[in-house]
Amino acid sequence: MAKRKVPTLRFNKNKTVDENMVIFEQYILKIDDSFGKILKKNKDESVIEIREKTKQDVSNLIHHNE
Amino acid sequence: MSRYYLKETYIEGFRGINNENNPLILQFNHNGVTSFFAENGQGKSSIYEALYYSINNKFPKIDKLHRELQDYSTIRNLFHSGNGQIKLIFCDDLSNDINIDFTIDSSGNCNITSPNVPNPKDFIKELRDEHNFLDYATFTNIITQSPEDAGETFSALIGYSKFSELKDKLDKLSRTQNINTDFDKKNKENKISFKKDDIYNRQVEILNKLNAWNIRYKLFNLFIIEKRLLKELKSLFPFIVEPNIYKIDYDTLLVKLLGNKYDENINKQAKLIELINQYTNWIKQLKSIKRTTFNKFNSSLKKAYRNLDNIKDIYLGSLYEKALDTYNNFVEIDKNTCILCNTKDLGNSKQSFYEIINTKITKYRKFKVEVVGILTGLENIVLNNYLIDIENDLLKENKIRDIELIFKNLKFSTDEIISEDFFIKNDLNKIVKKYVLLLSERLHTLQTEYKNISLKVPKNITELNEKINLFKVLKDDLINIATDKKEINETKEELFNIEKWVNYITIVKDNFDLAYNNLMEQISIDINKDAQAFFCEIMGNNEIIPFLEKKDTGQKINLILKKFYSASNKKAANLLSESYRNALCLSIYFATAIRNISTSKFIVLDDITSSFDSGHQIKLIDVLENHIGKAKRNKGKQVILFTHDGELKKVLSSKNIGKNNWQHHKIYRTLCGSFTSLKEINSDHLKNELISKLNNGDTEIRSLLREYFEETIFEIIEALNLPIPFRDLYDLSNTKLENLLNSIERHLTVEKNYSPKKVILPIPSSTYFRNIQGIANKVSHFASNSKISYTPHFLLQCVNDIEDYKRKYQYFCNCHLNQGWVYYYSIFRKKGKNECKC
Repeated sequence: MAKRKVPTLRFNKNKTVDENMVIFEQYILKIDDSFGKILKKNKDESVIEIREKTKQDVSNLIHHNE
Repeated sequence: MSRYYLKETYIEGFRGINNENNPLILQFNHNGVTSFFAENGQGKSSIYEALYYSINNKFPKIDKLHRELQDYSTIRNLFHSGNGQIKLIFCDDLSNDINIDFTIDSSGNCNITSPNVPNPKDFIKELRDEHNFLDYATFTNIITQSPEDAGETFSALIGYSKFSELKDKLDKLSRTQNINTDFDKKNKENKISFKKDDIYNRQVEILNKLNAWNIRYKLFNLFIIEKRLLKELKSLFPFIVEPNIYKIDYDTLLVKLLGNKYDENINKQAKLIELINQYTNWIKQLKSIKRTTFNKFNSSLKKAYRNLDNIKDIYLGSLYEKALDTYNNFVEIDKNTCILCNTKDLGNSKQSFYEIINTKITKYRKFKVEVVGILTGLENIVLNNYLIDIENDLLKENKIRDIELIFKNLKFSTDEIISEDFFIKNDLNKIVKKYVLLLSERLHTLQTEYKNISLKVPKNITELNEKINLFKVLKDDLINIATDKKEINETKEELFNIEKWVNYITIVKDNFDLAYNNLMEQISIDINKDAQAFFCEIMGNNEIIPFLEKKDTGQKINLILKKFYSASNKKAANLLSESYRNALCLSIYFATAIRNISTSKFIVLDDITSSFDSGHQIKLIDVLENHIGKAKRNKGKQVILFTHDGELKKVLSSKNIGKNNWQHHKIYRTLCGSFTSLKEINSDHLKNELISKLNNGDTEIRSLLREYFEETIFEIIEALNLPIPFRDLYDLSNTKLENLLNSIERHLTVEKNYSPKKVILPIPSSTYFRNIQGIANKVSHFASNSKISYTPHFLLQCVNDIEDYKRKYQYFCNCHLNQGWVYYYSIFRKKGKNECKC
């Protein structure tokens, strides 16, 4: 499988925190739409919860694909 | 984005501010700085706390206390009859006002309402910012923290705490160990390897069986083997037209070939061959299970149990999960109260009940993951070795099904509790050994039976029966190989997708780290410029230049001194004195505050000047006025400053004169009751109020008259600079006025009789003092006893007598410029100075 060039993530110091967060959200979707949606959905979960919820969503996605 | 300033606040019944029915009203200058000066005990901290509590919904002073010492009922003023009230009025750039009301009940809970915004809680949440509040206790943190923590503090100061948290989350998600556990990667890899071995063994076996039949292949090729088997079958049974070996009905082949010659013995023989073959396979399979396999499960289970503090935790595990969810979703639930039985004050001296559960749940989750791993392993062994089938076959009439019982309990509910000694009580090695014995016995019987029946069947038919059975076995083996291959492909697909997720999250994490580091580095360059300028201006020392150094790894930040006299690049915390450290921390705070773009445009500073001498305090004030305050800097903030530094009293008062960008107020506590006010208590104001009331016939002036007398005495004491003991000044007894008058008389008499200096103050006679003490006695009783009443005329006379007492210590200026002005005498003549104070 040929390696795809990974786009670079760049934040802008002149933008607000929320604007930079939008840049991050666009970036994670750009790399992989399905995984990006999962990460975007769960990124605001607590540090305790995020692993459990992401694991569940990724497992569902993998099995659904199969 | 709308930006909000604090315009006004009303405080009543909060902490040290009682002000029953007469709220303390503070107005803030949203164009620049508003400073408040108050001596200790006047209510300054209560105001700061009121603003902090209403915006952050936290009370750090109590939150930080040991759990047993916490008492949130003290948030509302203890002596206030109703709920505590705080009203905040914000205004935006277009001067639109937003009122938010906070009601604090007797338990310290806060209810937020607003006539202007539909969701006042969300509005306040939007306003929350690391820069809103700064007090002496917290602003020095950044210099003493570890570089990683300092980086986290820095992130919060520049408004990026969300990113700092996200970094932690991505770290957690991309950690190899976590991924392996979450997606059961090791088990899946083991499954593939196990299946591969199984396929290889089956293939070798098929090749061996074919070899015994004089069909020799070096390598296993499914297509060739299928073709060859079909050819062989067709040569034995020419009537076969089916081109697929898997669809042929093997049981009818011999019936079709022999027709009427097919009898019961041939049928029995075919069934016996099949059974013997199956039993031989089962024995082989059971013997292949290593004794150490089940022993490993036992030791793994014991290891899993070592994660738990208490054996009861396995029963309470799922309950803990639910409790934790409930606490997290309903913040109003006290974290020391049981959500089931409402028992309060749980937890221990170090941790709250919530924290204890949290620790337990982490351990329980680890335990659960390990147990599930063991059960999956056990399930694989049981299924792959046909243990249930063997047991069902062997124990047809026996009700005790060892494996089935164990397996049912374990397989269908991984939440079922599996005891620590499970594998000791259920010795699977013993069970397997028992089944091998039983199978061997059964096989022996079948073999004897087969020998007997074979005597009754012609030899060529026996050979055909054996061959058909061999075809059936080969067909089953080929099907099993295909099933295993399918399973391997599915698991590989799953692993491939997991690997895809691993790659994805690693890329996201690495790129986020890189981008976030770059961002912090760029911001720190901007911050450095301002921080260095502020530091230099506060300390007035060009020989020390601080620098915020962003490290490449993690979010580490180092506070270094780029220049320290002739040295360079030294760590700041080691070299700087207390005041320099504080100046550096404040410089960073100010630099980040004016850079930060957020909804709230105000910063509230409490006691930040304490560690500086008066000169540096003035410089700090200048920095606030010229660089931070909004009036002088477009991007600046509205600054609200609270201080108790006496040295700053005059400087701040002077800022008030003729300036729009600075408003200064002094906070007073009234002498009677516990009111906090901005209005200065002045004996002249009190006198005018008293005369006005008395002229209207109002004689209910009890506490006001006493307050007037007290304030008059305080003014005299302050003007004459008399060393009256603290206990007399803050005496709460009824005889306070008389005691103070006594103290004044005593001091003046001592000065007159014994001081070597010349006393110029005309000291009243002792008869006059007795007379005024008599009035003080009457005023005190009038204030404390509602049954005593006086005529307005008498009370007016009292007011005049008190005023006359004050006049005894004053004189009219006769100088050219200030003629007619009133000044207090000095006790002594000052050397080289005119008598007049003007």
